Amino acid sequence: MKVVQIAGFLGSGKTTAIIALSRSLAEKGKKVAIIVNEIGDVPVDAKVVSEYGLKVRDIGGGCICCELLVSLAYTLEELARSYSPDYVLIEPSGVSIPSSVKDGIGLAKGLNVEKGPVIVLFDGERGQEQLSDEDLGKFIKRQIAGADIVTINKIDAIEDGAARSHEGLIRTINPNAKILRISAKNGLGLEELVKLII
Amino acid sequence: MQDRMTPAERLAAVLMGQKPDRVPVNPFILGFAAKIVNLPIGDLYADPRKSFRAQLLCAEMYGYDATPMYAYASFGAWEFGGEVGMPYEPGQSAPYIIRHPVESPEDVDKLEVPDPRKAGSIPIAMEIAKLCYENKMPVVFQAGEVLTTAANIAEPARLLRWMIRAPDVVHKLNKKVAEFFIAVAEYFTSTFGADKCMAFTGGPVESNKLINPRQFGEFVFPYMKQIHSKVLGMGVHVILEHPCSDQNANLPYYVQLRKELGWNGKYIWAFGPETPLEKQIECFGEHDIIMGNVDPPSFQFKSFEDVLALCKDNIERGIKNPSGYILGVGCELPPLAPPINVYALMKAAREYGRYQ
Repeated sequence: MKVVQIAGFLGSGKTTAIIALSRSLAEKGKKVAIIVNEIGDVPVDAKVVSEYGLKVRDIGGGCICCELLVSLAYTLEELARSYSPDYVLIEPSGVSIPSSVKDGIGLAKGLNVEKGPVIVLFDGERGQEQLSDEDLGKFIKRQIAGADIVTINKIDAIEDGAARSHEGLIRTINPNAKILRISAKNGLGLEELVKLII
Repeated sequence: MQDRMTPAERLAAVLMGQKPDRVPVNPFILGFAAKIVNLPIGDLYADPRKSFRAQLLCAEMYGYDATPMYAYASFGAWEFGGEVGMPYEPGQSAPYIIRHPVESPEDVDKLEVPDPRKAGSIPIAMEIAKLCYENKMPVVFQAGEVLTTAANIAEPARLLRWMIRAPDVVHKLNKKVAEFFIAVAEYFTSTFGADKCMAFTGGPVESNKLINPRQFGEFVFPYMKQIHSKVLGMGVHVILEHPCSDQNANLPYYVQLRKELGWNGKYIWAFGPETPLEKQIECFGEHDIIMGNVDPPSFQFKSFEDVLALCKDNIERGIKNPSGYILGVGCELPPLAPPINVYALMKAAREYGRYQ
């Protein structure tokens, strides 16, 4: 069971990306489960769930400081027992820090868990503006710093020069991260991302 | 070892600055109580009678000193017109938000301060409060925190963005939230009498994992002071303040709050495990009670012996507070913790928490 975290600030396209990735993995014959913070945030409709056999678990409600980590660990254990997914995609809240979510994954006991990559979505349209702000920028930098893969999303809506500028900026924050350009909305770059996950 | 006081006597002693037979224990148990009496956790938040009974039986079974209450971290969304779900599914530990009532600055303008008698979970909290009152227990009502509640209303990431891009919108929302909490306090104190009530306040969005101390000073402190001042003015004598998660950088503001309120009333400080007890004693020890802050996930994932050792360490450090100490957990006790680990709290209090 490979656990992949898909983080990013509000508006970065996490929901669209997680649904597109789930579909793509399901089409390759993989069993996929999704864990979300607040089920209302991910409009995975019944048709998609039945068509692709996805399992969706919500761990919302608890206090974000500690209860969510415990709930996350429990939910991973429960999913492993009841569903045995090949992949678990976790969409933490927009204000989660990847390292905290990693702690929650680490709390799951007795599981054959393979820690997959931490993917952070960078908003191609508004990311630089958000980064330039002192307070918000610090927060988003912490997310990027904790990423294995940073995907510049909404690539269809920006110029090549802007994308290159984003890449340069991301490299200064996390020189080790793999950087991809994607459009979760129309599928651009998603296959490459799926290959990195698999 | 036998207890020589009842939970009520023990708590009263600590509140009056006297030494009880042993340190009291408040394990911050909500969802765990449902598990102990074989209820779904959802019932603990949706059915006041079942909730009261579960909390009461759990406290009696272990012998800890907390009384039933009603509070949850996602408070605010339902009360201001949004929608929450009750935690009936595996892995869910508390009510969760399905729809935030605010999505835009215009929504904030249109937002009305709800009538507490009808707002969201308040009727459930009131039913539990009535049962507490009938059983001669303190009535606990939720009185904050403002920013966590505002985040539950508007969605945390959106609120963080507004704090930077549109601070006026956040202030507008916070004012309405503060007005609501004051109305809730008036509702409870006028129903039961202020001397029977205790205010509970706390939330994770105020933590320094999400905001810096400057933002705390601008977006939290003035509203917290307003609410606390009003609540103390109504005659409520005890405020249980839970600065959730890492709030070390906000500590100077909490000290400032107490100073500006003239150290009135009695505060019970329930910081997260990130804040050393020694630091809390230095800040508040002359006047206030410190509640212990044993690491919550340890109750779920560590052995009985390890949890017992953590509780012992907490007692040995916290018992030095001159104004009183309660053995506690740094946030809600994980609902699915092994029952034996909760017994570790009681064993530690009885073996290491005796007063001479």
